[in-house]
Amino acid sequence: MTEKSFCEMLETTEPYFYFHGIDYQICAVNGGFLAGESDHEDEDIWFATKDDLLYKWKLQGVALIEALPEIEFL
Amino acid sequence: MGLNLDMRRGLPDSRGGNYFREQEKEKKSSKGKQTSSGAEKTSAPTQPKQTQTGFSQRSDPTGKHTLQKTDSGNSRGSGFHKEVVESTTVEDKSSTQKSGFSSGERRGGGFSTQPQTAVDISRGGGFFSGDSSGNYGFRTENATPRGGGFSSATGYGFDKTATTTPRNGGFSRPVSQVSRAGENALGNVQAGAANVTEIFRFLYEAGQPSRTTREEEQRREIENNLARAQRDMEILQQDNAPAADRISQQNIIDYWQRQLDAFSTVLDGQVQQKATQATSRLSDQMYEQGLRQMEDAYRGADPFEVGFLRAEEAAIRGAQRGLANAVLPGGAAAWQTVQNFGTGIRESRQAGGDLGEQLQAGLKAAYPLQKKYWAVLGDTGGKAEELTPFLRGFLDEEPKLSKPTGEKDAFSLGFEGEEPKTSKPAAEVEKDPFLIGFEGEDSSEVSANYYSEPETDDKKEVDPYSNIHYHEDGTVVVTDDWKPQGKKTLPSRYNPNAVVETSTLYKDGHKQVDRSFYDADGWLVYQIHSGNHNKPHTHKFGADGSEAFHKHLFYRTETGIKRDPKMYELTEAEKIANRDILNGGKS
Repeated sequence: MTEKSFCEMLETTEPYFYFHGIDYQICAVNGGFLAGESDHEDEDIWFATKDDLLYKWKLQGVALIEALPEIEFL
Repeated sequence: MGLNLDMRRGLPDSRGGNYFREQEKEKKSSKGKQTSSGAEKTSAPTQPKQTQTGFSQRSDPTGKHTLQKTDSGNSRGSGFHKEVVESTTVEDKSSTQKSGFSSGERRGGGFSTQPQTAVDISRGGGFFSGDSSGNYGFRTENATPRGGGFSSATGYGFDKTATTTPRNGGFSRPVSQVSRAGENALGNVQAGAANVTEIFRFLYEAGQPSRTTREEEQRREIENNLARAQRDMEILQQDNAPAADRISQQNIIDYWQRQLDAFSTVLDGQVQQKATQATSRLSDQMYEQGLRQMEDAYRGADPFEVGFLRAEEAAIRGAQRGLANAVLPGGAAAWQTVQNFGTGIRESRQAGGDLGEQLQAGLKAAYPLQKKYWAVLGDTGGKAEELTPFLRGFLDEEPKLSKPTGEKDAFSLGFEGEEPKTSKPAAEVEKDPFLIGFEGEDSSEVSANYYSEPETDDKKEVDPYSNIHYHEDGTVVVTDDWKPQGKKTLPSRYNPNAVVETSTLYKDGHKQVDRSFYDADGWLVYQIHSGNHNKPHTHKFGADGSEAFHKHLFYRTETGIKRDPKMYELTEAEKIANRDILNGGKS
C-alpha cells in the first residue's frame, strides 16, 4: 500500500492490519490516531498527525511508512 | 357569460381560477397552451434521519452530554428549496412612465434571500398578499392613477371610466388591458383568500361536535350546581336561617340560573352554526367574485393580453409562494397544499357533501402536493411541522386514501383520467375508520369505496439511493454490503443516500460490523461502529460506560470531508435503526 492510499484510508477508516504476523489497530481518537497492537491497548500510542503516525510509530522496529508495502488487510 | 361553479369537471387547484381556465380553454382552445404556473423545483431532502434535526446529542469521553448543532444539515448543500418564478414586466409602449400595473422579480425585500416575484401596483387599486399562514388580503386605495392605471373608488371593483383621463402618460390601448390586469390580480387573490377562509370554516365546523359535547357537559354541571344551590336554600328555609344567609344563597341560585340561561342560547351550537354559515357565505361570495373578476378580465382580451394575464397569474402565485417560503422554508408547498385543500372542501360543500365527504374531497385535492410538502419538510428538520400542526393533521389522513375499486362516484378519489392501479374484491376492501370519527356517525358508506392499497416491496425499494430507507422493524436498509470484501477504504464520496456495511474480522475470531452513511449528495456524513476495535478503554459510552458502539461524524471541507475529532454515543433513534448490528453485530 502506498503512502497516499494509506492516508486516504485514514480519512474515513480505522485500519486493522497485519504486519509480519502481528495485527495492529489504528483508531481515530481526539483528532489524532491511537495506534498499537490490537490486543495491547495499554501500550497504544497516540499520534497527533498522520505524519507522526507514519514516521514515528514503529512496528517491530520499523516505521509505519516503511512497513506500508508489506501490511496486509484480511 | 354565466358563472358556472361546477368545479368538479377538473382537478381543483389553488388558483381558484380553474373554472375560468376551463371556460377559456373551451373558448380559445386554438390560442395556445396555458402559461404554466411558476416552476417550482424542490430537491428531495434525502438526509439521514439521524441528523435531520440539525442537532445531535453529543458526549465526550467524560460522559458530558451536550446538544450541538451539526453542520451536516447545511453542509450537504442539497438546497432544500429552489424556486423559479416567472416574471413579466409590462410597460406602456407609448409612455416612459410605468403602467399602472407591473409584475416582476423583486429580490430581497428584507426578509428573504430567495428570488421572489412580487406584484406591484404602483398607484391605485394595489393589493397585497399576506403570509404563509394563509392570511391574504387585498386593499384598494382611493387614489387617482398616475400612470394611467385603474382606480378603485369603492370596494374591490375598478373604475374603468377613470382610465379615460390618465394624468400622466396616455395609453392608446392599455386602458382596458390594465383594467383587466387589475381585475385578474384581485380575482386571483380573492379566490385564494376565499379558499383559506373556507379551510378555517371547515376546521371550525369539523370541531363542532366536540364543542357541542363539551357544552352539554358544562350545562349539566351548571344544572347540578343550580339544583344543589336550590337544595341548600330549602335547608336554610327549613332551619329558619337568618335572612342574610338566605339572601346570599338566593344570589348563588340566581348566578347559576343566569349561567344556565346563557348556555341555553348556545345549545346545539346554534351560535356557532350561524357563524360557520356566515363564513361560508362570505367565502362563497369572495370566491365567486374572484372568479367573476378573472372572467371579466379575460373577456374580450386579445391573445397578447391573454398571455399577459396568464403571466400575471403566475406572478401572483409566485409571489405568494415566495412569501410563504420567506416566512417558513418549505412553506410554499404547504401553502399550496392548504389552498388545494380549501378548493376541494369548497366544491364538496357546494355539492352538498357532508363533513366527511368534504374532508375526502379536500384531501384528494391536496394529495398531489403532499409528497412535495413532506419532501421539503424533511429538509427543514421538522420546523414546518411544528409551525403548521393543523396542516400536519389533515395531511396525516392522506395515507388512508387510495384509489377506488369500482366505478367512480361523485367523490371518487381517483384522479380524472387515471385508472385504478389495482382492483380488489369488494369483500376485501378494508373498512376505513377514517373521516372525522364523529360519534354516532356512520362512515362505512363512504369508506367502503376506498381501501389502502398495500405497498409491495417492489414499490418500496424502486431506487435504493432515492433516500435512506428503513425496514418495517425500524432498522435501516443497507444499500451496499461490503462485508464479504473485508475491511477496505471507504470512499469519502459515494452514491447518494448509500448505507455501506463493512466488517472487520479480528484475530480472536470476533467480527465488528460498521455502517457508513452518505448524504443526498453522496458525501460521507457519519459512521456507526458496533464495537470498540479491540480497544475497550477508549470506547466507553452510555450512562454507565457499558456501550462500546459509537459514532463518528464527518464534516464537509473545501477539499472533501474531515472527521470530527470526537466520538459520540448513539441516539435512541440510531440505536433502533442499527440494533441489528449492535452488541456484537451480525455474525
